Amino acid sequence: MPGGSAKYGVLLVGGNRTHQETHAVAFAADPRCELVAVTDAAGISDERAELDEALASEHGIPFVPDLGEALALPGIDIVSMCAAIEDRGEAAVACARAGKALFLDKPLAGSIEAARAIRDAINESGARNQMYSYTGLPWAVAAKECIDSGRIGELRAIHADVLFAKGRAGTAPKGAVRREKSPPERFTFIDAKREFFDLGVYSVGLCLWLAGRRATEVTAITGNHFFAPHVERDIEDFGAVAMQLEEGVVATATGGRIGYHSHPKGGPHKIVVVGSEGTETFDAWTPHIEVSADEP
Amino acid sequence: MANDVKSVAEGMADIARSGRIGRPVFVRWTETVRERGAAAQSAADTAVGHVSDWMGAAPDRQTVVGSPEAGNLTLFCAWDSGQSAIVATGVASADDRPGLDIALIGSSGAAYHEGSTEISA
Repeated sequence: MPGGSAKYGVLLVGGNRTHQETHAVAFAADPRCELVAVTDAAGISDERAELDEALASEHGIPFVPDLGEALALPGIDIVSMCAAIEDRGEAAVACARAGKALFLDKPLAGSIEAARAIRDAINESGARNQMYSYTGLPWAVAAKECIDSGRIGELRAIHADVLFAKGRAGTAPKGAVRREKSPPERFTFIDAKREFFDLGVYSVGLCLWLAGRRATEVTAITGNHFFAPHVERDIEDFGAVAMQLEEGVVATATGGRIGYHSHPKGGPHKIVVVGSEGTETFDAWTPHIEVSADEP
Repeated sequence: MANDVKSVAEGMADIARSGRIGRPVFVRWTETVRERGAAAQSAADTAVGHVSDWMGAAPDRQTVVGSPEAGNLTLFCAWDSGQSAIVATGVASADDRPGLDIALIGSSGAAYHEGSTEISA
């Protein structure tokens, strides 16, 4: 603990209508932590500033618009980073250079350049850091233990799905064929966000973490299969990728949103690990209890 | 629950044709097989045939990774219409029966199958 008995001071970068809403509640509930202030990246919109102020007000802490001033406040130990994707590279680099411990929302950044800048700043400052991911979930940990135990022999392949059953599917125009553009300009809108970008980070991250190997070849596709707002915003609601990893290991991953009537639970959350001597499946929803009754 | 691959595929084809799940847009087919080599290749080829039936056409592009000799073969299939599929095989553990796991995702619904493809004695 800082200073022996003092609490860890937490600076929130980004406000309401981001994952910060839930992160802030979790930090506030932790007896080791104390929320200090809300801040954000430079040049945010008035609407975004209002959402930041709203979160600050809910927790009885100040909104400090200037990130540099906020980082200089006394007692800041941890930064919870939920700046807009477009601003995340610059804001996270500033926080890393300030030497704060970083809790980074996923995805890390909107471009390879921004992600590398964050990585380099962290390496230079030695800031402790963690990006939100699925690697701590019990079914993912069980998959890791399976691979490490050697009971399926040598690892050959990993297949991971993280699809969310959210929203009313079936509104996308029939026959909409997505044409991906690079680099993407915007990631988040009021009514939609890039779903493979946002959720594929879980499944791709699981593959790379489980395999402990880097990708050498990648084949991928994104789609506009389910939701009209995604078509109108020209952002994907689904994606799938096949990766050739080092040492001959294969990985495939899917990520996206498929509509709330398309799965009995929250959506397919599954890992299949293939070894030289066997194959095992790890499902977030297994085991489960099914109840059948005449109630509506 | 144990069903042979053909029966499961026919059931999925009925669902795809019924329109209940909208237009089929993605298939994840993961099958465990007893034998490596030709058996794994044959299972993957058969799977692509069934998936093509559900999608309404054979894939326009196909990327193959893995090795049938090792028992793990992965086919990444894409259609010009935007549909896609991942077909993968893996060897079943010595004390496990071969299995078939399918997610047929439609534009407004989905159908899933999990189970063995071999009825135990």
